[in-house]
Amino acid sequence: MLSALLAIGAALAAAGISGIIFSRNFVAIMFAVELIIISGIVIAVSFINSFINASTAAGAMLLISLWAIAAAEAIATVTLYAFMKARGSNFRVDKLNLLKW
Amino acid sequence: MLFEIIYGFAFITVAFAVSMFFVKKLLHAAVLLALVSIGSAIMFALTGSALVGIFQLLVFVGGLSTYFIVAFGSEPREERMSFKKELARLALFALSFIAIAGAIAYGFAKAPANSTTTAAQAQGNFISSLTAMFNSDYMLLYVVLLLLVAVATGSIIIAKKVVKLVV
Repeated sequence: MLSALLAIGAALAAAGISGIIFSRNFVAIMFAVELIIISGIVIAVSFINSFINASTAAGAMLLISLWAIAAAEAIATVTLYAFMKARGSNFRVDKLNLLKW
Repeated sequence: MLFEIIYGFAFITVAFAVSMFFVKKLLHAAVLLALVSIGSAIMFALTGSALVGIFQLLVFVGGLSTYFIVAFGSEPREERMSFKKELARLALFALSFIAIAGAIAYGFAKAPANSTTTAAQAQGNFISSLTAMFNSDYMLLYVVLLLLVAVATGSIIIAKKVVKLVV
């Protein structure tokens, strides 16, 4: 079971990294980052199942932290999207210059 | 039988993840992200972590994916590319995917064999220090508060810019 979860985690991470490399849309890149966080959660669960004693709270704390990071990233994505939409800017990262302050 | 079902769900989940980067609308990409989350939750349930699967569904599908679907519902992703360019992008994506997945899988397969520490020693060193760090009664509170402060600060900075533009 460990190998199955590790395999899917590796594949999801690879899809996310490839998505970051080959996407030009800002939101698609943020989705790819979200995918990498999901892969991190999958790998964390496989290691928690194998190495951490279920009676300790370490595994739960680690997973809650990862979920909190994913939620924070989603909020940041939608906030930046609203900001860019308000400025009427292009969502293509190769034409992105609005983060200059 | 369970093994085949697990690998079947794994294959479907990865297929959804890859197709997320080839759909034309952001709404479809958000729906595919939700399907990836559902697939990973089913994988957790099948491997004996049903509670983690339920929380994965609650957080990613119930919370984040709904948020994304509502926010990006009407946004087109990008202009259409020619068929040749689309094919070249698909080929490059596939090559990159295979190379990165292979590198990560090779790392997973080789790391314990090359390591001089056994799994029990690793558990003793790394996991126990992690446990000590996370096992405090207030650790969860600290992590959540730190993230909330970071998000709130960033949102305030960006919102100030938006207000300046609108007003």
